[in-house]
Amino acid sequence: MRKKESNGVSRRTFLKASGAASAVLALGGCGFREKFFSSNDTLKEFIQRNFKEMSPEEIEEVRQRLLKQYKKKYGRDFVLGTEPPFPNVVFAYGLDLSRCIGCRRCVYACVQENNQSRRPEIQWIRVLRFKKGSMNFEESDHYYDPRMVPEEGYYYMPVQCQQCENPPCVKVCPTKATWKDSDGIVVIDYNWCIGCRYCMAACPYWARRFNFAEPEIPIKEINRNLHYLGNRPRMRGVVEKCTFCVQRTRRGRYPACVEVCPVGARKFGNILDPKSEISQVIERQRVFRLKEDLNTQSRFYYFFSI
Amino acid sequence: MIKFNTWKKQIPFILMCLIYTGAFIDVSAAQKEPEVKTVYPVPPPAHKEREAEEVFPVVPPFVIRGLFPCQACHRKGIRKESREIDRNNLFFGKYFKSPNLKPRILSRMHVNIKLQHGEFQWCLNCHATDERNYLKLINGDIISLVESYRLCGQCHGLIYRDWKSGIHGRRVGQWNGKKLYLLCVHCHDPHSPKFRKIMPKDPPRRPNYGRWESVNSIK
Repeated sequence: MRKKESNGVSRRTFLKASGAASAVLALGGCGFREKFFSSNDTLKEFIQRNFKEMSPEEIEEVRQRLLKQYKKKYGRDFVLGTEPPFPNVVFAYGLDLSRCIGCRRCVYACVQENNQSRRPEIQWIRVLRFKKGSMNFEESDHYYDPRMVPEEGYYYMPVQCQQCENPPCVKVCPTKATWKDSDGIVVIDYNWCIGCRYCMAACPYWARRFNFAEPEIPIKEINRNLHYLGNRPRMRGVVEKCTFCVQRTRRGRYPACVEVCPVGARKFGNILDPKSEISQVIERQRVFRLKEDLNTQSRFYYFFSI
Repeated sequence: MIKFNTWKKQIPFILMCLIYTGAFIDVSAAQKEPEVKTVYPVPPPAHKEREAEEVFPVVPPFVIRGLFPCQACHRKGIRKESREIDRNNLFFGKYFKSPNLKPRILSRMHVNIKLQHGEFQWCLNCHATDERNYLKLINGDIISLVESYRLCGQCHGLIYRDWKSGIHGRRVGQWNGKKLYLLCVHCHDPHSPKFRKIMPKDPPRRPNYGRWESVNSIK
């Protein structure tokens, strides 16, 4: 017995000590993790509910947390809105193909407005160039780079999210991270997106983009008017897309691409208001929608005014 | 009573006064020219009422400093009747030239304006002859620059119809609230309205499919 005692610790003592040590280590690990992930915010973010299910208090809490995060990351104050859709409003968009000159001003206004990643490059609007007299998508080109536009013998068709009434991307989302709001805008809760990219495969317009890497936005160029479902800075591994500039349109403004278009080819408005530009376009012009045969019932009306 | 001596002393002053007023004596009565009055065809009242209704909230037109107001050079703020009087003035009349109504290519002023608009090109087709700050319609109505869409709408009726309903052109403001229409001249140069070609922005970068390092090396 004596020999045993002198030799070392008993089984009981060993278990006690090792238990205590592991407890201390675990606690220490927790503290380290917390410090590393900036206190409880990561945990809260992890257990945060879907935006549709959040109560107003929860939304406010999330808003404050995100504002704090952005302040820390970018060193600036942001305005983060969570405005719900207007009642009795359904948005629609018109694009006059005979006016569009393919200058890509809309693309870069969109990048600027919606805080899209500059590197790797993400652009929500894609301007296709067609030969006059055809509308063959396989022969279209969106890497065209002439010195001056418009070019002879070509016409241009910008394509972005068509905000379908019957959106295939929403149907396939396994986490219900994307849905159609009552004003017709298909939005994404980036915190619920798991990055499976099913929606990208389902979208027939190639309107969705994936953040393969951590997005890079120059701090000087960042747009500080944010919306939770719209242009707040995204993280790596989530899908994003055009939201008709939800941060502007839900505050009464026109989307950035409409404001910037130098030829006035883009029309936007409430389709339920008969005096709005878009209602007039649909009433007076021969409009068509892309890939109507897929029954997506998109809200994006193209027309040739001349 | 005026004393003789005092009256005699006043003679140079009175003479001066007479000469000075002579400068402003109108000699038109003496010449007895026949009165020339431009009589515009009077538009039918129904037409006028309809036109009066169509007033749109527009963004005020921009003006180029030094060129507007036009009447700074083209007889500042003086109407046609009073200009007739000026022109017949005994001494300064020669400085008030009557406008040269003959269509021609301007050689001294406004040389940077190149008219490339329509077939018969001449300033006074659109600019009012007598009040240069304004524009004139074919029916003779004088309109301000804010209403210039009516002038353009005379020939471009279909575009005007589209512009009124918002199909052509652009609006600024709010989609659900107050919005202002951009005038034709905000986008088109009225003297050569066709858009010039512009440089496009950079095309998107081609993705390098299958090269994982390129994405991974970013971060």
